[in-house]
Amino acid sequence: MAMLYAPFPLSDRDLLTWIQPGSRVQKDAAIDTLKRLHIIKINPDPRTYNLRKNFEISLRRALSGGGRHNSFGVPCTVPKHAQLSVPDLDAWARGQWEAILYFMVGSFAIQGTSSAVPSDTTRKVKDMLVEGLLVDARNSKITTAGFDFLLRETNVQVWSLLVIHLISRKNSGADVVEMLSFIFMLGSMDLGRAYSTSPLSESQLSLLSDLHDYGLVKHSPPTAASAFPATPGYFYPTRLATTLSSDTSALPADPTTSTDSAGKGYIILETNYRLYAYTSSPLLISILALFTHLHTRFPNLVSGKLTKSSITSALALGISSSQILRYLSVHAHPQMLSRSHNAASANLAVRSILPPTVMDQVSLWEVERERVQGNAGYLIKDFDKESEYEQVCQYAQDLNVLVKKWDAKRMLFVTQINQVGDFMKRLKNKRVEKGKKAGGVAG
Amino acid sequence: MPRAQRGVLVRADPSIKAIIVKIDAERNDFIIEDIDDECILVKEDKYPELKVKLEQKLQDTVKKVEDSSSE
Repeated sequence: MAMLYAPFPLSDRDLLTWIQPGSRVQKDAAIDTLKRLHIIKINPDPRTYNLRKNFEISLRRALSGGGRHNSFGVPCTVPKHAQLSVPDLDAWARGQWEAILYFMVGSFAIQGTSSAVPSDTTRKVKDMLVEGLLVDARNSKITTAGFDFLLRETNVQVWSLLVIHLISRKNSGADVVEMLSFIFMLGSMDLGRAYSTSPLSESQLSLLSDLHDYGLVKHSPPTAASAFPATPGYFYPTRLATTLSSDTSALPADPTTSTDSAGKGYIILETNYRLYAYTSSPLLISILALFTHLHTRFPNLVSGKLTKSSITSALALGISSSQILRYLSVHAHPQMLSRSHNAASANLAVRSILPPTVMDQVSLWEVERERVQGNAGYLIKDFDKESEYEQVCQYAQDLNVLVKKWDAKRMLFVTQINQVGDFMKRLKNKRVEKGKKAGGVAG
Repeated sequence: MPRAQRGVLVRADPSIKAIIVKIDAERNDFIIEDIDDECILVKEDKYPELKVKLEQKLQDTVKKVEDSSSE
């Protein structure tokens, strides 16, 4: 912040005086992040930092409240009969969003349930999921990223979907900046109020119709001028959209729909690997079917068993055991929670909501499959001096990019090279200077 | 002068690592650097292929073990 109005670049030494000696690690990490975000520029020799021009100007404008208007949307009035209430919007948004999630796990649907679900996820949305690698296009199965996506909160899900959307639009040459500004505008709109589409640009309008598919807005296109009364186009942002820039839960609890049972947990897992889930939602059942062997289905309950084959088939899809366990413990039935609470009071492990035997076995199945661990990155070797090697190691550790080092061979492995490379260059320059000085004195 | 080399660091048990070295010995195009008993640097684009081969090798050996124990 202090750099915002400073006319000169900030020097490394000045920055050091601002922070406590103990927090150098955090400082290095912060600088690294800012550099990667292109917010600051680092000038070598003497080491100084300054903000990039664009960021500086925009932030100043944002703080002083200048800039262009319209950034909070233009409300518009809608004929009484077409108005939508907040619960209507919620229900609609939830319907759309569940349809998308259901499509992702859809290939695993138990036979007989698939017809019960409205599959109104449009072609476009499906393509989007495939492009974002959340779903595998070849056999339309869910991927690791996809399963991770399912486990997230709705808010995070919406954002990741939007990011995928923007990337794909960018690849097809659309103006991403306009779209982004529209998304941020949505985040600051009021729920249950209609907004006019007239101030929106062409690309924003196309985004609007996509967002309609995702359930973020409910869009009514303008009626033809011949119709009476002619209304301009308008749209309602739903709760999915208005919570974009806040951290409140995106889809509120509602007893009438099935996902809600996820809010209070519905899974009971016994020590003999049997699993009972009190739910009737096809979405939840098909998520469970990804890693359990389901055998019976009742109106409000499905029962199944975690078997080696069911877990390994999930692992083969790239779903990790920790993801499965996290899912099970997050959605554990209140009874399991209370039981584990009693166990905790008896000085047992607090974390084990699930039976420890099952947790161990599931991880063992995974370990059996994954016997090698691979990290992509860079091997740095052939150091001339021990001191140089140690300095670089320390620096890499501070940046949190060090994976492993071999002291005997003076080698280290890092996940990212940029900053470490810079550091090594600086070290070298210093050494050369020192060498010159020493040479001068000797001469 | 320090050098940096791009690749995938593979960490595994010594036994598994021995299998990887053996796979590499056939065509010699996976390993960049054999670091120690548990670590090898492998070419980044070859890593998925190596994983598949290792999987096959392991399946063969595990089956053999099961057969012998059942007898």
